Amino acid sequence: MPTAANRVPDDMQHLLPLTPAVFFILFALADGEKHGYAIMQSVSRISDNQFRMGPGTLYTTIQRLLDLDLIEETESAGGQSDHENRRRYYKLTRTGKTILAADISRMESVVRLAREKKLVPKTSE
Amino acid sequence: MTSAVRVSCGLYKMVLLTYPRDFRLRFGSEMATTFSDQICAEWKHNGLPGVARVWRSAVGEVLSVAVPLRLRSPIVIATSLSLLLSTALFMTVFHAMTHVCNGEQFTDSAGARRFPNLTRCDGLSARDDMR
Repeated sequence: MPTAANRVPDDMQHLLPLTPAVFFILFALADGEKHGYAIMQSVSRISDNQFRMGPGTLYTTIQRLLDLDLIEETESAGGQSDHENRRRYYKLTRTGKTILAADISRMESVVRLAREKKLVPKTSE
Repeated sequence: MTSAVRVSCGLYKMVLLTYPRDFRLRFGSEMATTFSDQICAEWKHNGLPGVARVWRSAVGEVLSVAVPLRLRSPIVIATSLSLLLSTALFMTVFHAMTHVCNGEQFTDSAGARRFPNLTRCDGLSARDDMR
């Protein structure tokens, strides 16, 4: 059975494991398109405030992800105000989803191994 | 918007100048908008300490993000290399000249005591100086 990691294109394999900034941005975009500040808030929430990034880190990572075709800009129209119009919205591409799934699958394997070695307590599922 | 927030946003536009021009043209206005959102939210919920935390992060990013981005540009690499090489060359010449000067002093003072029979260019020996 093909695993998520196997479906990742060969030229993208070197991206795995994802860096924290890349992982959290892709993860934040997994539930739909968002603008920069919404991504920042989402990252802060899903990491339980453990991972915070400023605009510099956020937009250099976004630039990298756009160049790698892991995310794309959407055509969403801004709001009425100039402030809203300056916002750009981003969403995951198909490759972005595949890469994210592959990294999550890798993490799952690590957690499974850790459970087998009794390094982490088993959760009641 | 309070004046503290307005001043912060104005200052951040200046901080953005530390980022490379291409990057700034592409993401500058978005970064300013995001920073403004961040500052407004922190000011509202945490006051001045929150604003200070955002600024600390923004200044940290100048060192961790803007400077490395700048250093990737071929022009900056060439300029930095030429500056480094010029400095190294200057230091080498300066070091060599200092040694030459020290050498002269050595034969004039300490050398006179240690090598009293040494004959100098002016025809006098170091022993003559000691008399």
